[in-house]
Amino acid sequence: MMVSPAGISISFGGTRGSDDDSRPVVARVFGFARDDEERPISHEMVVPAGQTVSQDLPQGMYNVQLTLPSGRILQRNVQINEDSNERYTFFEDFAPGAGFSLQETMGQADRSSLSRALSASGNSSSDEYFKALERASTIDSTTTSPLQSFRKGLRYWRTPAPASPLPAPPVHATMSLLRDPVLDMTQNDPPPSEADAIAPAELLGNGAMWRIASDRVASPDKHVRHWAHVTLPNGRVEVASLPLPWLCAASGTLSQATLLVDPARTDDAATRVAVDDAAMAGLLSFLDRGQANAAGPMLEMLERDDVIERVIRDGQNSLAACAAAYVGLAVYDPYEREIWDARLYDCMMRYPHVPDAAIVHARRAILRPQNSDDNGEAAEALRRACAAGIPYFSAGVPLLQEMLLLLSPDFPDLAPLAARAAQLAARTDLGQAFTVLRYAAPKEDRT
Amino acid sequence: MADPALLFHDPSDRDGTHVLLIGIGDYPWLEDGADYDPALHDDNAMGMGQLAAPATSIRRLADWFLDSQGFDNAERPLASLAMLLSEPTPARYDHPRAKPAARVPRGTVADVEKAVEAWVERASGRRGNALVFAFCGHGLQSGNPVLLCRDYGRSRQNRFKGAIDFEQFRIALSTRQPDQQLLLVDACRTPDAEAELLGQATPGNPLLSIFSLAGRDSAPAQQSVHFATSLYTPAWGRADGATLFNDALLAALTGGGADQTAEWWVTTSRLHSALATYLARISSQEGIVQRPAAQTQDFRICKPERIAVPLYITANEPDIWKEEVWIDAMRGGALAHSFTYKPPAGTGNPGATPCALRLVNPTQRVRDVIYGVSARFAAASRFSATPEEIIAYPPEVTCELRVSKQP
Repeated sequence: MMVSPAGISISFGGTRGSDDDSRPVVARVFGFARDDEERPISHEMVVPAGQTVSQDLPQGMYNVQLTLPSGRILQRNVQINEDSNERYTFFEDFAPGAGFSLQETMGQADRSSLSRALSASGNSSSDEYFKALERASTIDSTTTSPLQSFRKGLRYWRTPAPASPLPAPPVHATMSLLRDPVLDMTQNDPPPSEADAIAPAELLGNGAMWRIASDRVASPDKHVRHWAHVTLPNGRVEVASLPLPWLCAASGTLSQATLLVDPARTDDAATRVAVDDAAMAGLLSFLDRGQANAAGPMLEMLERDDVIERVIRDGQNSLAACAAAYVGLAVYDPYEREIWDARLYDCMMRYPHVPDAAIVHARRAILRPQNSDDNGEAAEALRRACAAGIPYFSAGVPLLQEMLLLLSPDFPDLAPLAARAAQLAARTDLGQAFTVLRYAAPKEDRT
Repeated sequence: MADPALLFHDPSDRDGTHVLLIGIGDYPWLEDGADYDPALHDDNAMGMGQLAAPATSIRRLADWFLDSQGFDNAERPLASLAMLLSEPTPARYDHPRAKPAARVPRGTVADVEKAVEAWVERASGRRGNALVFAFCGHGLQSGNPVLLCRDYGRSRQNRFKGAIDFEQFRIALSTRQPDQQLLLVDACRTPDAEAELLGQATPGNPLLSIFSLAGRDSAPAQQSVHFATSLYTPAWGRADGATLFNDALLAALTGGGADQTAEWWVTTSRLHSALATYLARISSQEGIVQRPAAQTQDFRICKPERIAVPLYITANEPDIWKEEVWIDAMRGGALAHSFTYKPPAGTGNPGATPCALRLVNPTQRVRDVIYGVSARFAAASRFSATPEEIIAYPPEVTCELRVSKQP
């Protein structure tokens, strides 16, 4: 008789009671086989969004931990008996927490993507936003509130400025494409909108969503860079770097970029950018959540599946290569994985128009200097990065600033570049993966 | 000159951990402050007022570093601890290992600058040293993080004269000798109200200048930076207690961040996971949202001798929480922990609120993470529960009791 191996199947069902299973997670199984309780067993694996993964295990007791893109760990205990192979679906049992990642919401097909994204972001169009606003106001009030003990807490609440009330009826942003604009890091005024506004693909409340196909920005000159110029209802302008063209590592076809603009978001950028790429989705979600350091297993899976080699070696997708490199820098010890030295150098040489390629190479070189009294190679890479323009990924902005500052005592020509990078950092929304620049409203619109 | 902030110093000639703790709760030039005049200071205050939680939180952190059951790192034991506290009256700090009846500096930016200089000097003697920097107080995001010292807002013409440019400080610190640097920032990261600051360099005092990396063999120090809250969001504290981050941090340092694959050390990457896990639960229980953020390079922080893991118990039959329930956790066949749940008086159905038990692995033996959990009820109760075997692995564990009910 054939005996099927014992084991478990793991999936993530999102927030309990919702239909949101779009988030990829990292699973770790730790436990003991029944016949050897002194030597623990440990496995780590990626659970792609909406999928189930299985792991064979000997009979015994195990603790399964899921790390979510938000960084939170969910866990449960599992008893594995002979021939047992049960499916365990994990749910997030309370609010998903602060922050919002458009990238996390990509890849679900069963609801309107705009509705899903706005719901996840706590948008003005949804009741949740007003509830949150009401709750925050209550917390700071001096009346008897269940949370009055927090009144003198660290947080403080500012009511929205009178100049930008929550508008009704809906007022949407407008968006047009900028083709290879000259964007200076120190430029205080936004670049002018050059082209006709593009109609959104979806509208809901004040929110609007655009989908921009790679072929829309296709150009015989691959080095031409495209930005989305977004004018918000209050007159402020945001300029979002479009990660296009993006060759999907899963399908081999060109992906579209998705742009969500939610004018109700006033603390961070109203504009969010994401791309559709099933193979890279997990890694990009963790990057979009600022959790690159937890995305190690995602990167290892991509390396195992040869995805990284393909995007770098075959030059399939310079931006995907850089996304992987940012995660690699966060998770690998600089003295590990020497293959990354060559990979990052190749990226920089192959993609001179992508600043991030030079940034990740410089970072690796600084963390593991070849020469104990010289960082000349890193300095040269930083000069290349600055010449190539503004990073595609927001993670590159503070890294650029940090490295320019670090090397400026030894390479004085980097000091003015560091000052420029500091100005860029102050304009960039560092809370999402792709670079979005924010500009103040024109003076005549300010109140 | 002696460092007035220094409370503990072990001059042993070996690698050690040098700690600087800053808690700023009293802000004279913010709302309700001693020198606050609404007509003069309202614009700079931006709604910020006095805080109680920073002093409580920093004192708890200092206690943990100094207690014999607290910070444990055989590779880099505690070598020095300095503290600044801004409270309405000059603060004193008492601990058996601290300088007797020490009065600590009050945390103006000048005080902080002096303390940082002395701290870096102490720690720079050995490359193998570790640094810990913790700040708790008001903060905001103005391009980069800005931390507000006691004298924030004193200068009406330059309100940030009393503030720290944290990013510049952090980068400069990475050019100093100690190889491992842990930075903990428990402050709001809400954006500055001045939209005009978009694109401008960060205000504030960087405290240190950047040294040539040639002094560090061309490589910066390893840093792990942990923020109490994510970008553009507030951090929370209790008016009559510590901050939520402080609760989570101490739970993480006492075992929640320990990992068997790292030989039960609390590492910086696991610290972040534990903080995210604990803060999700704590903030959700309080009806608010707070999610920590980090820029980590992985290194070891401490190795708690006793690893404490919170256990949350739920049941398939929520009505059990209407009764008294005795929860026992057995380890190696012996009773290790017990907890008596008493239903809150005068309420109806308390719902499925899990009850918590703190399991402590006293040995770091891997086998000691296995517990048998059982529930007992009063003789007249109609409930009985099947014992469950669990692995109490950090950061937290849940156990759902299978309860049966007699008709």
